[in-house]
Amino acid sequence: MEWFFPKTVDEVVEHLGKEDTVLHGGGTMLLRSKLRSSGRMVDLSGVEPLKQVIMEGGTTSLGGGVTYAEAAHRLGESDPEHILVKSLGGAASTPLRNRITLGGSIMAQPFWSDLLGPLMALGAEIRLEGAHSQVCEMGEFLRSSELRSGSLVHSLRFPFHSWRTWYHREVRTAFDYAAFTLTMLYRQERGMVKDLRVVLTGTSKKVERLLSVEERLQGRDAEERDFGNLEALLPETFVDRPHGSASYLRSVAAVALERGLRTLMGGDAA
Amino acid sequence: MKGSFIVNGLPREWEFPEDMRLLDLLRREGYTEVKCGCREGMCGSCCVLLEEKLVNSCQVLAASAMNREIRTVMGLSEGEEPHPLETAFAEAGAVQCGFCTPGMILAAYCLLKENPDPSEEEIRRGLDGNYCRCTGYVKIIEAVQRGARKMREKEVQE
Amino acid sequence: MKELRQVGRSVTKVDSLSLASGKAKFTDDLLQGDELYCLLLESPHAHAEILSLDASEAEALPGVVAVFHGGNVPRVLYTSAGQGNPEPSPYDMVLFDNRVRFVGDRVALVAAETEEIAREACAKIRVEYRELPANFRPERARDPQTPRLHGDQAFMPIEELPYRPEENVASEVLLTIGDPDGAFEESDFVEEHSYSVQYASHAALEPHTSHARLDPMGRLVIHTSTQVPFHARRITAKLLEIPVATVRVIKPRIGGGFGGKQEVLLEPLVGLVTWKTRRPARLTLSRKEVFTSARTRHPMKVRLKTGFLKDGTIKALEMENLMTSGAYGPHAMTVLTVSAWKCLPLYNKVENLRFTGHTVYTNTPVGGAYRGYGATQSHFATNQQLDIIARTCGKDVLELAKSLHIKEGETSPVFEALGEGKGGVTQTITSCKLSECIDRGAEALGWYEKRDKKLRQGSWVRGVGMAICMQGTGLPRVDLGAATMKMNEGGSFNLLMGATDLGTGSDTILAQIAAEVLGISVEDIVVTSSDTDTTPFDVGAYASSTTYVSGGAVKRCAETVKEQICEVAAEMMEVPREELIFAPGGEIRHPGSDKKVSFAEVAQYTLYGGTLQQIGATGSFSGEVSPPPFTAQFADISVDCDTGKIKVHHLVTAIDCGQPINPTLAEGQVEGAVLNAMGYALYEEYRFNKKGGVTNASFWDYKVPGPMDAPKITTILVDSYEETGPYGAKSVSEVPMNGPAPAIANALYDAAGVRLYHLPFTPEKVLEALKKEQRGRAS
Repeated sequence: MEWFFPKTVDEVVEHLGKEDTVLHGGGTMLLRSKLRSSGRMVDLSGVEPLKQVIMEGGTTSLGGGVTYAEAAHRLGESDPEHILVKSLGGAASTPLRNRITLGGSIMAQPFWSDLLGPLMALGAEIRLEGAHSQVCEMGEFLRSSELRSGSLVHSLRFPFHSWRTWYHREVRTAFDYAAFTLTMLYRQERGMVKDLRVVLTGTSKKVERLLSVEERLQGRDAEERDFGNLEALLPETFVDRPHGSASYLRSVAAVALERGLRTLMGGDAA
Repeated sequence: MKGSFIVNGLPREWEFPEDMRLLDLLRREGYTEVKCGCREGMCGSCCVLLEEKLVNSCQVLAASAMNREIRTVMGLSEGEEPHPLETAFAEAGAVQCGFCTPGMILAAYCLLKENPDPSEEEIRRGLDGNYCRCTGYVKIIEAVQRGARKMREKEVQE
Repeated sequence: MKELRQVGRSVTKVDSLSLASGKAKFTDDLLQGDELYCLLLESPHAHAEILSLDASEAEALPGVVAVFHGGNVPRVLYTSAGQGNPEPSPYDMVLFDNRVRFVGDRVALVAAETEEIAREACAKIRVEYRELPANFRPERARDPQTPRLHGDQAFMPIEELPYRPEENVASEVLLTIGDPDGAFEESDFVEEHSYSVQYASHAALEPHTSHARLDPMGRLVIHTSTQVPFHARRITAKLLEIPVATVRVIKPRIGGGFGGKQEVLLEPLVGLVTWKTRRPARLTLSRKEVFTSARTRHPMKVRLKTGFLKDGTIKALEMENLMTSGAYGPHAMTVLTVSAWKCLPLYNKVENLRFTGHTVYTNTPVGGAYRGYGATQSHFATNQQLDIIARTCGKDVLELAKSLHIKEGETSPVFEALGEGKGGVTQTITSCKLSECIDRGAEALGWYEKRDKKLRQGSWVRGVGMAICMQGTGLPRVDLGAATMKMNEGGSFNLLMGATDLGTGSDTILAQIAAEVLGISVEDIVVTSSDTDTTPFDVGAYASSTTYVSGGAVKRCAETVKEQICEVAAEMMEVPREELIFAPGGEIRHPGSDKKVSFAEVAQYTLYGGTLQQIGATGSFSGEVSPPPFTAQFADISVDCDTGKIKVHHLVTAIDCGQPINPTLAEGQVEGAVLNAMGYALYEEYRFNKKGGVTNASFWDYKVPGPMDAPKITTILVDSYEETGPYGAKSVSEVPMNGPAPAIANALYDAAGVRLYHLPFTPEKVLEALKKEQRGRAS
């Protein structure tokens, strides 16, 4: 194992061109798996451009090296209800949030990630550098294992909108990984459901947008409380976890879904 | 590999294996106040401050902490007097076996820096990565409140 | 009663500041850096014969100093249980056997220069196994076709104790009083239910760890994280076949034990390495190994049948306990006994009683001592049954409990019938404030505002439940504690005790007792504990014995020292001894003449000036009785009827622990036990795969409560006084483990009309029960 401490994105890209390169963000995912004794460990913490948090021109951009804690803190300063504040701000634990990076999480894509669901819902785009220098949609990145190899997550960005947000993490105790997460973004206009995005993570598909739920509710009267059989709209892709069986998790997800909708919908806010 | 670190305000130069964890390096070099409970980033006994941020030292590769400020619980107090948090923990009866205590105190320290007068809920959240099996957390929360008062008083005096 | 000055004060624990500052040393903090790194090779199979073991490739690796296994270590049968000699546990293990009996069982030990080399060496040990059929189910253990775990060699060192390995029975306890069958016939109601308590881990934050070296005289010195230094010394010497005098065991600060370290696990291993290689050696279990290969709570099935009258009087009680020992039997007999002995006497008015208990071998992790020690499992059952009885009879469960629990001046035949290895003792309850505990606890919880109200908030419905519990206070005529004091110039004292402080604060409270006797303060006493060379014998920290037994020894010792001081003072002042009084602050006064001397002056006189002698003494104590502490414990919970999640709002414990030596420390013991209990009530469990391997041997999936999960916890130390205990004290640390789980179960029933008999109460289990109940009501 040999360590490298680049200062620029170009230097990182140069490393990525070489064999055996391992990108080290916060290191938490690396330490969960077996560390290879060989390999070029490229530490990203000195690459300033990866730590940027930029909010301008209707877009929020977060660097791949930004930690969960930093992201939640910075976004929370202007919008305490931001979905990423809710999801990242409660993920894992205080000391782990100080190490887990957005880029690391996007690359590793653990099924329990508190990041993937919200990013899908936000319609985030990932800017990659290295072997695949491009900007791609979150969903596209998740579907392609090819895009991951030889890539650096430079940053992610999503349009700034004022959403009502709701987040559920299915855990046993407070400090626990999630069996599944449910992200809901909602906007209402003149008492009607203007825009609803629902993303489920933790199933066998890892990240799923619940389009059938969105379709059911799109354009409805926001005061209408009869949502129909929501459980029937949930996919059959739940898996058994130590938290509970697949069927239990599915039924709880339906409950969480309903509670989220009730919390979000109605009232005065536009 | 060789590297420089700043630990509790003092510069250190150490030789260590590339894949060594910060926890193991610190303990090897005598900082035994940093404890090892699980090696999984779950229990919090190994917490240190890395650039004033609370981290699990078992989840940090030493190499990635080079040239950075590291503080253990022994780096909190200035001079010979114990830090007000240490005194608060002792007085409140929040120290039973004491294994979790250094990590807890660092977590409390970080919390109080951000939030000098936290609610009970905020205290629980600030300590959410630190397990204790002895106390039920009751007196630990009291200790943090007590320590917060002491620190606010100290601020006023200074 | 004389006013107390030290006892009853919440003195800050003597080691608190050194622990908070990080300066205090735990076992691994004392490593010198020259120790061989030891690593265990563990079995991947639940049951297998080791046909061959070839360590040659491992031994040939540069940096490997030794590999120990069944082929090169003498077979000495023993038990790892940290108990007195002879232990009331089967001798069914050897250091390295030619058979493995659970996934995680020991196969070999590597000692190498570094961790890296040790790991490489472990991987190079070639083991040929012949897999044997394995059984994981305790109810199948005794079936004829179930494989036997222990063959002809294992034996029980105390012959009278039942031990039938040919049936996979590690212990049997049978007790019948009166005529239960007849009494069931005469009952208005009979309720029979089966309960179960699961595998759990102590999850002490500090993993088990030990290191050994030879001192310049060639003696084996072991530093270890143990609750039983003297047992560790004896058993290590025995296994290494060296004299006890050759071995020294020292306990530094420990990072928690809760019973998990009342076991001699690593000391013989590091001792073996050091003794054979003549080099220092260290062994620390990984967190995973602590889960799989150390000790656990004994899982237990409790079948409880109660026959009672319309007015709630219990006529007959039948308890059948099936306890899982795991692959070996440390504490197999004693935990089983305690499940009767420290539970049933609470219901002493039941005249007809049958207890049938069996501990059986299974190819699973090994049970050991765990706070509560069998009583926890039984109380889970009895307290739910009490709730059922109250509801069946339309009685207030609090009033019912108050009417039927054992009272001061009463006894129970169970005390005499059962003992831990030796016969039981008759004892009469000399202190019991349980009824007051019930009242005060109920008030603190707001019981009557919530009971039977099913207060709703959205999908959440609220309920409250209660449990009454007892435990013991030391093992009468079995536990020995001793203390030595000596006086120093200046008037301070050294207090040397074998007693083991796990963080419980025993160093402090025992110093408080000594200080109380002498009229000085804790600051005048220097405490040394748990070094087998320098401190007198003590069985160690278990059976809730430290305050009572070790405290009794300290009190006797201090009283002898006080007598000596008095004699010297009389000589110095030339007055009769009987006319002297001890004043606070280390002074002896002669009221008749205004003469006085200080402790410092007495020290000077005896060490240098006058009649030369060392003022000092050793005191020993072993109890004649084990006066139970009592708790009334309450839970206020809500359950989400749509998800099965339980939210605990408030856990209240009102405890009669006699006179608390140090109220803050006593509270701390209660609070820790209560949250631990909530953990095993709601989340903690071992998950196994089909091959018997533990799949959640990590905090990732073995969930313990964190700061955000802890509910409001209230502790009420009820005024009480136990005449046989030092300054009126009884024990405090174990009993509060027993109440929260059944209290939560009873609260769940109060809230939602469902009763769960099997721990833990995961949301899925709760939801299933709720749905079943709903369907039942609908039809």
